Amino acid sequence: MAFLEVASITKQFGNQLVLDQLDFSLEKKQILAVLGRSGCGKTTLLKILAGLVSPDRGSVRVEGQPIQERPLPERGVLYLYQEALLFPHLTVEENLGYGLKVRKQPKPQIALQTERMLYDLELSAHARQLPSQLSGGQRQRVALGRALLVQPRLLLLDEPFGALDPETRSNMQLFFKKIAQQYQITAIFVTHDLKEAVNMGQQWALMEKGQLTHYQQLKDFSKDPKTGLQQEIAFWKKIDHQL
Amino acid sequence: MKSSNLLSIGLVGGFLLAILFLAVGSLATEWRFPALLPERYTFEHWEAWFQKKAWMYYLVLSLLLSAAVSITAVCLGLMTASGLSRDKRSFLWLRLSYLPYGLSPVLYAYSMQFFYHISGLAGTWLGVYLAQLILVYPFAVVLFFTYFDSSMHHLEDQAGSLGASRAVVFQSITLPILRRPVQTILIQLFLVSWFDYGITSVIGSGQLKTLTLIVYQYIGESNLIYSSLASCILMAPPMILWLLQPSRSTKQDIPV
Repeated sequence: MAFLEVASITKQFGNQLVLDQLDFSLEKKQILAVLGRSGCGKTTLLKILAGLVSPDRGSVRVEGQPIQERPLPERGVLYLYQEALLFPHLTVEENLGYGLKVRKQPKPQIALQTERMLYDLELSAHARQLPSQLSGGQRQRVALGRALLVQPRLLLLDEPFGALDPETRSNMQLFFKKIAQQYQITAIFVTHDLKEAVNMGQQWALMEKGQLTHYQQLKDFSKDPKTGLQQEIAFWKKIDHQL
Repeated sequence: MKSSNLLSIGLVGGFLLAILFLAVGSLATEWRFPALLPERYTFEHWEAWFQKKAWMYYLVLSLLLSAAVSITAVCLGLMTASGLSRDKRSFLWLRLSYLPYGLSPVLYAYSMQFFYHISGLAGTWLGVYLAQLILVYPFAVVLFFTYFDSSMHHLEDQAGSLGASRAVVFQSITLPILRRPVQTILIQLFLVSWFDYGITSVIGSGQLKTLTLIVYQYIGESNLIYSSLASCILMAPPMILWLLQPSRSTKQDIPV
């Protein structure tokens, strides 16, 4: 039995079929990178998994348990948007500790865990700053740290670095890989960037017209011409040859 | 001098001129046309006014009524706007919120008067409170609705995903972020209730008098001195609220 099992998820908005009988599964401590163009239904899929949108049909099971009927706070599934969505009236350390606080953890424990996370995020010097005083990359790191502190069973990342400049984006990708390794995250990472999908995933999927094709190995992902990876490789080989 | 500075000076000057007129009127003994200023000034009217205990009753009654109406409307409006903003037909609900303004307050009160009489609420504090609330509540919904956009929904959803219940999200995220709009809208609704004449007059049926009604009464009697004096007292709470009003009333920045 896989850690996450998604079966026959269907969602329609008006006359538009966004997700069509979508099935896939994911093992624990694995990161599934989902590649797809804008409007292919990636965000709808993540929102259904997070419990923010209800599917018309289908089921979502985590560790064999259906989670659709569970209230949002009890799902253990955390959805990170492209925007960091830090709470603007709370400092960095208060944002980090928010999830622990609402779970009524003892104050010393919150302080200790927050301090450790600040260190891991390399943001100790910014603990008492407000989100408006941080850069885009720093905000995303806080958002990631805030999510990790509540130890979600499943982390859903919806183009989390999409709004960052190329250099910060590249740094954040490296940072995420390090943190994912350190915290043994199970995650679905959605992106429209082929390179990012290849970099961030341990398994890969292509989403197109409401359908998802899942690849266990990178070579399988690469072989499928619809992913565009072969064309990308050919392009760079051609450039390299010209140089 | 910048045109914005000139405009500010003009606005403040015009406002102070009105206050000065009321203050002078309340201190005058005789002030008849075409005299530019009163012949003599005295504090006797103010002393006489304060010696009467009734003014305190009207002031407290008016303050309690406006505070109760505005606080209830803000609480209900905040919750309603939050809920409606997530509804698929939110646009329709918002349009319906404007319906009460198709009638002027006095017409609305007049059309509802019958029901207030048969329910025994006419002429009571509770009746006027309910009548004002019915008019002010949709106003609160309309004002708060604009603050519940997708950014606010995402923040609330994020807090929910982190483990907060709906009540905790409301208390720890929604309210603190909307602190400034809540203050501003509370003041605005207080003023709508404070200066209301039509509803209080019709539903109050002459048995419930607020300071605004007293001012209208003196104006109707062409009593310049007492209408000026009562107006000065009527303007005191709004002036205090104006001074307490947050300097920035727009929505706080929500980071993206």
